[in-house]
Parts: sequence; C-alpha cells; structure tokens
Amino acid sequence: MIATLALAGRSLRRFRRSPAQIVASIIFPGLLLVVLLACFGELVEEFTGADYVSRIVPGIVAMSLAYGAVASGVSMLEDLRDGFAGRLKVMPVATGALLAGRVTADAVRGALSTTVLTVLGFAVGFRFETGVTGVIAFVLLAALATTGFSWLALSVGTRAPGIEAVAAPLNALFLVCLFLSEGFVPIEGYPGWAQPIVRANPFTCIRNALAAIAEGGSTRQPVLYALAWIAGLTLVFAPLAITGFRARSRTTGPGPAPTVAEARV
Amino acid sequence: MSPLVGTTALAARNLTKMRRNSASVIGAVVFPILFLVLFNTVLNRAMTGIGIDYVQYLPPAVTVQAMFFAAMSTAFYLTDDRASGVFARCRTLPIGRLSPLVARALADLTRAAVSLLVVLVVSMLLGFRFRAGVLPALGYVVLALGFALVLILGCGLVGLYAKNAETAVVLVEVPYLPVLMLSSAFVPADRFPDWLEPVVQASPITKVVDALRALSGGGPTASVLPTALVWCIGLAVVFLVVGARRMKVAT
Repeated sequence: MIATLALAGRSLRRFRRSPAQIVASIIFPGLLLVVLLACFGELVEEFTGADYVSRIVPGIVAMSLAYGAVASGVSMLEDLRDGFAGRLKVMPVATGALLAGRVTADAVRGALSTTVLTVLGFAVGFRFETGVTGVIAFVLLAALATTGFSWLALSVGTRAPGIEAVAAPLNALFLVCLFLSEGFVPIEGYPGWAQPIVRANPFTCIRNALAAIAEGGSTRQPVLYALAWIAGLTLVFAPLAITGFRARSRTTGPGPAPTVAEARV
Repeated sequence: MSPLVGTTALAARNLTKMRRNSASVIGAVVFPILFLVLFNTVLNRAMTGIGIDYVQYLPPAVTVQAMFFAAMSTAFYLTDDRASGVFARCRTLPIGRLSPLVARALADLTRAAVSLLVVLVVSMLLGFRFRAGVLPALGYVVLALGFALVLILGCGLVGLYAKNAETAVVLVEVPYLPVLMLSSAFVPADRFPDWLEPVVQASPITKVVDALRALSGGGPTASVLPTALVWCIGLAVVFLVVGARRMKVAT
C-alpha cells in the first residue's frame, strides 16, 4: 500500500515535470474545447436548437481522460525497458504496486485535468444546475473513468514492442471514439448506420453521465451505463495488464531509454 | 561529390526512417482517411441543413490538414537529427552544408505527395469530384504541395530552434489546432461568432482552402487564387530569411 502510494507520487511528479504530458492531458483538450466551441457552436446550435457548451464540455472531459491515459501506457513501457520495473523486483515491493500506483496516479491526474477543464468551461458558459454536490460527483466520476482507460493503456503498454506501437493505435482508436460520440454532435446528427455505434461508444456513455450530473434530472440510467463501461474496461484489461507486466518484467532488462516524442509524429 | 548525390542519398535515408516508423506511416496514410470519413459522418447532416454539399466541401480541408501532418514530421525528425548528432556528422562529410536541410524538405514533401494521393482517392470514393477540369485539378495538386512546402519551411524553423524532438512536437502541435480550425476549412466563415469572423476571413488557411475549393469545385479562381499565392510566397520568404539567420548563428 505504501509502495503503491509512493509509486503513484513518482508518476505524478513525472507528470508535473513533463511538458508533453501536461500538453496532452490539459492544454490540448482545453484548446480543443475553445476552438470547437467557436468552430461548430453556431452550426450545431442551429441544427439542434440546444446549447453547445453543455454538450461539448463533458465530451472534452471524457476525451481528455482517455488521451491522458495514453501517456501512462508509454511510461509503463519505459519503466519496463529502462530497468526500473526490474529494480523494483529486488525490493520488498508487491509485483502489482507499479501498476496500481500508475492507475492511482491516473485517477488523480484525471480529477486534476477535469477540474481545470471545468473551470475553463465555466469561463465560456458551462454551468452546474446541481451545485457543489454536482461538481464533486462530476470530478469523482471522471477520476473513476480514467482508471478504466488507464488499464486499457497499461495492457497495451506492457505488451507493445515500442513506444509508437503504444501511442499510435490508442490515439487512432480514441480519435474514432471522440468523433463518433455525442460529445461532438447529438445522436440525430449522425447517419442511421452510425447511430448504434455512437450510442454504445464509451465516450458517449461517460459524457452523457457527466452531462446528466451537471444538468440534474434523471441520472440513474446514464451513470449506470458509464459505470458499466468503466467496470467492463477494468475487468477485461486489468488482468491483461497484470499478466503482460509479469511476463515482461521477467524477461526484459535495461535497454535504451526511448523518448516520448518517438510516438507522436 | 556533387551536391545532388549527397542530398538525394540523405533524402532516401529520411524516407526509409519514416517508412519504418509506424507512427509516421499512420500519420501519413491512416489519419487523413480517418479525418475524411469521421468529419463527413459527424457534420454531413448539419451541413446539408445549411445547404452545403459536405462531400465536396470537406476534401480541401483534409488536404490542408494532411499537409500540416507532413510538416510536423519535419519539426520532429529535424530536431531529432540535430539533437542526436547526425547533422554534426554530416558536416564532417564532403556534402553541402544545406544538404541535410534540403533532404529533409524533400523527404517530407514526398510524404505530403503520398498523403495527398490518399486523400484524393478516398475523397473520390466518397463522391468528391474535380468539376473544373484537368488544368484546375493540376493547379489543386500544385497549390496543395506548394503550401506543404511553406509549412515544411515553417516547421523546419521550429526544428532549428527546439531543444529536443519532444519540445518540437509540442511547439507545432499546439498552434496547429487553432490555426487550422479557425479558418473556413471545416465550417464556412460566416458560421463563426461575429467577433471571430474577421480573424477567420483573414486567415491564410482560409485563403488556401478557398482557392483549393475553387480549383476543385469550379468556382471563380481569379478572386481567391492570387491572395493564396501571395500568402504562400510571403510566408516562405519570411521562413527562409529567419532560417538563414539561424544557420549563420548555428555554424
């Protein structure tokens, strides 16, 4: 437990000192929020008659959680390759502590980026109808949702041969998830064939739950859908991450330290 | 050794490096296809609602976006080669001092051409057509690649200044988003908030995308093409002058 917290603290310090990670999980989503609002706001409001800010803020929050998790998968691969995971094996630390620490750090980071994005959203007109309880539930659900994406990224990070093999497929997957979600355009904006995909998309479920929490009204069904996705991602990918980590930390020793940038172009 | 041999050898080396990096291949081929299909899926209905045929409207935007991706590759690999000492080593070889830079631009221009081909083929499959004839279609290709070269020069400048490849990527990725989105690329200029509309109208991206639209859709080119060309040449000159200064300081 102490080891997990110590390793979580290490992850968060590395996050704080990495401009690339701060850009990916906070600055880029914030910029995207403002730019999309300016670019699509009028068009979509004309199409739906509903306010675009309340659509896009929870959508961008859901997106930022997933994109932030990609960096976690990359860092895990780095830890395995540069021998950090191997060094932990000779210490009195549980095997899973590195993974658990990473997921804990991701939850904290998710809460942090959600708070920043919500404040930014407030500045451009996003409002909570549910008061302080709503804000707390919003941030907690976001933090929890991060852990689901985090396990997915870790299961890729513990298995991938190189950094680009972690970031490129996850970024592409999340891009598709972002576009085909209700965070962009409401369901009636999509062609018939895409609507079932949009409805089932985890980004849609998490966005709708966050939006329901902010707006008030009936939250039970959207929140249940979101929790189902988070539980599903965790149940499938946590075991994969653990087995991948076990196999990898047995076989790999120190190697050349890769750079995060390798993965980005 | 003739400067041509050294440059082409380095350009070939650059292309091989890109081909072996799956992130580069995905960025050059998969992402443009994804953006074409996804933007079309998401915005087609809303755009049809305001009377715009989005299948015809979107490809020039994704063309410009793909040119941006090619130029980002310049910033990344140039910084990487500088930081890892490849450029320093080139200076000990009997090749021109500018050869590594020209080779970088050539390789990324080739990547831009591949992306452009992919964008045009997929757009045609979705229903996009060159309605203005063969010569304007050729003009489309030349303007797109010309603009790619301008962006490559701009990103090359970042590559000459950035400390490491990670910083270089952040330095081009962050401005890319507002520069591209706050233009008439994906949504017409009159759909932006009133206070932002003059910015969108004045954007060089708006000028280039509008010119590409005229060249493909058959609108009047005389009113949009000259402005786009002036922007391209002006930006290229600025980037080259600043770059030349930097090279003087660096060596």
